[in-house]
Amino acid sequence: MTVNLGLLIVAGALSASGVYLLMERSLIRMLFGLLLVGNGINLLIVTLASSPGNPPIRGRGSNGHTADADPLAQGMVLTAIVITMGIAAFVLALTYRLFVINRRAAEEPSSDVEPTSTEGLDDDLQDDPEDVKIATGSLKNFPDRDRSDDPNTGADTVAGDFFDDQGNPMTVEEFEAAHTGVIETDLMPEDAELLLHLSDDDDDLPSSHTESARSDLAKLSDGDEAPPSDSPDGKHEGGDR
Amino acid sequence: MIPQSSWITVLIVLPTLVPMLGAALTLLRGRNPAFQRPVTTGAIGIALAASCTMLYLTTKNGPYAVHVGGWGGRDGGTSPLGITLVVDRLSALMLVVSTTVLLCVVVYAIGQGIRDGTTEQPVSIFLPSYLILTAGVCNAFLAGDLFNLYVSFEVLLAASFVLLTLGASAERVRAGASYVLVSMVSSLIFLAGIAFAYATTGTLNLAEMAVRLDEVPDGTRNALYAVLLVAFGIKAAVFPLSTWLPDSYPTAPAPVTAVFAGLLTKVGVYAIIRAHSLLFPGGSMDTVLMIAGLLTMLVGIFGAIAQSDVKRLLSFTLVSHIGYMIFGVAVGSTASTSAAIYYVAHHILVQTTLFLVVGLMERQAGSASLRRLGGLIASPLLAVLFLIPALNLGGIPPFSGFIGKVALVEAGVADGSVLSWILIVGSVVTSLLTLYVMARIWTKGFWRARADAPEGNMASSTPSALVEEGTDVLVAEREDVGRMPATMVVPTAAMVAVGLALTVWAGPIFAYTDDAADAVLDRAEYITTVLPHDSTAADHLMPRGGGR
Repeated sequence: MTVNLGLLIVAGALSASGVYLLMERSLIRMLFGLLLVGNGINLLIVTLASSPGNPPIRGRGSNGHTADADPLAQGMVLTAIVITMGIAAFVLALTYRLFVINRRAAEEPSSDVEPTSTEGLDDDLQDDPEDVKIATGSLKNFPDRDRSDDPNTGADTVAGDFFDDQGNPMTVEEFEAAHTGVIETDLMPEDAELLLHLSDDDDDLPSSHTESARSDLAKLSDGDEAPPSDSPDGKHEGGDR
Repeated sequence: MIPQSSWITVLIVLPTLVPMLGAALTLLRGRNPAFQRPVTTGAIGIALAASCTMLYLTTKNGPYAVHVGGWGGRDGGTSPLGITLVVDRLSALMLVVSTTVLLCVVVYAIGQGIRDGTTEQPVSIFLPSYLILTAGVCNAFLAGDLFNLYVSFEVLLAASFVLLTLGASAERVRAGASYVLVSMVSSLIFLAGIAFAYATTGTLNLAEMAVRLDEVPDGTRNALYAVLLVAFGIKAAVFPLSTWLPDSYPTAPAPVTAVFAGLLTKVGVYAIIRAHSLLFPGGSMDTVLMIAGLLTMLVGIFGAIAQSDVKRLLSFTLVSHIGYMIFGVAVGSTASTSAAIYYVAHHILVQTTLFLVVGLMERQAGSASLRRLGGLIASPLLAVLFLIPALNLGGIPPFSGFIGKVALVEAGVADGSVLSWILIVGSVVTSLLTLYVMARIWTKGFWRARADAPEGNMASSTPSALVEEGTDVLVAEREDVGRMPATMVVPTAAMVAVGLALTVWAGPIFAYTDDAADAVLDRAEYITTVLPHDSTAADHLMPRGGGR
């Protein structure tokens, strides 16, 4: 059996253009990409199945051909075309819905739906918000992990926790009162020890780490300018995780 | 070989046909939930009964094949020309497990709909789409023909597209769009694989292909296998091809996510098992599969650790545990294939149960985010329902997760190669990390007080996931917080019980999966069942490729 090289090249070109379109963000272009790849593969099936011949209908001839074409391949392609058509209809409906949603989001900036790309097209696919949250997340975005960075080492210090829910600085006593009985699962054991020791009213604190925390605290409670480690916009990007 | 009486022929067709007819009926009476509900449960019930009968018959008599249409054949009636449906032990087990899951979940979904008072609302297409999904899944397990497999994939995908975007809220459309495109790309790759397979062997009947592929040069075979593996790998969410899954599944309604998580990826795994053992024995891709399995396990579970949304977290564990099955398939011995089959059954049940429980948690607490959850221990029933499958997934000794993992590890030890030792270590690490992740849900969601959750006060609740978007209701405004509807709890509890049954009867089930693995790896039985008159078929078989 010989295979028609020209048709194979056409199938390849169709698939390649389709894949190129699939790399886009716009749903309509991706749909066109799907259709192109689908047609390319359908052509591939027909080309690979048999050399050109008579139509797969008994008693019908086409000029010059002796063999019949393979009806099975044509049946399969027909099925594939129908399936692709159905999915294309679904994708079109989806695109329209996405268009409506993105338009609405652009018109009402206050709505829940945040338009991720303002300059993009209305049918652009958007990133998963949870993924974005994790990719861009840092300690300062996570209320349960708001330990601020040590100005020297960039490591977390407990001093960052001495704020109440409204963001006002707390004293050690207030902090202790608010946290009695709370088990902080994400604290390393030594940090947890540190919390216990903080209120001890003497100088033999376990480490210099604690002293920096205490000095931060002292500054805070004195009402001085906040130390850089506690600035709410988190200047120490290096400490972010 | 016993004569194939006509009622067995009917039996094999039932799991596909009855849900399809049910879908047509429920679609006709779309505005009448009182009609839709019994028809749906009835149709899936019939499919379950048929699957159980087939399980019994295949255990007793071996596989059955039906050529729908029953045309003779091209070359003098030797090879079938109809649509071939085959049921062997592996398919029968998969069918029974999936129809059980489908039945429980549909009762749960109906219960949720009734409970939330959405008699008109729950989009009249939910149950018809669900039935089509059922038909697609059952047909995929029965397909004895590569193109039939493709069509059943498309049927279940089309239904899953509809289910995933129910209500068409912004979030679901966004997730649905990427899901649709990824699924379509995998289907197109599969179609290309079919084109190559047809060009290479001149047939798409799996049994006939198995015979003819043995004579194909190795390079061509491997290329063909690689194309099919990529297609199945996307569906099964094997590592480099798995990133679509955690993006799309969690946005769907709880019952839908549960079914997807349990079944859709397993259809891909099933296709990989079939292709690996029937079409391409000899283990040419074993190394690739092993590395993919290892990475799937580790990357999946590391992803789970980073998540705070329970549904997304579970989606990542879902990806992670696909790695175990791939491991079992890749080792390729009878023991490992048997363990992989057992693990597939176990994982379908456990993962579905967990998603159902999360649906209950979400309903109870108004949120599935670990930053908002807390104090769920107030409902001990829910705690038990969560804890059992969670420990099961993590592989705590008495449960089926442990049994499956031990069997996999034993098979890996028996294999003894360096790579399989690395995989054993990887699987143990994954198991421990799964346990850590589950403990995190437990401590944060159940054990701590709601007030201690960082955003505990912000939780709002969506009464029904099937209702239109924008219906968030504050927990404080809800009447039934703290009470769980029996129609949702009973199916969940039933799933937990079925999961436990897998532990209690682990011995007989393992004996069964051993038989199934034997039959799958020793292809002669399958091939002679499909091609009874082709006396040359069995002689052409390559020596069995099991065991590297």
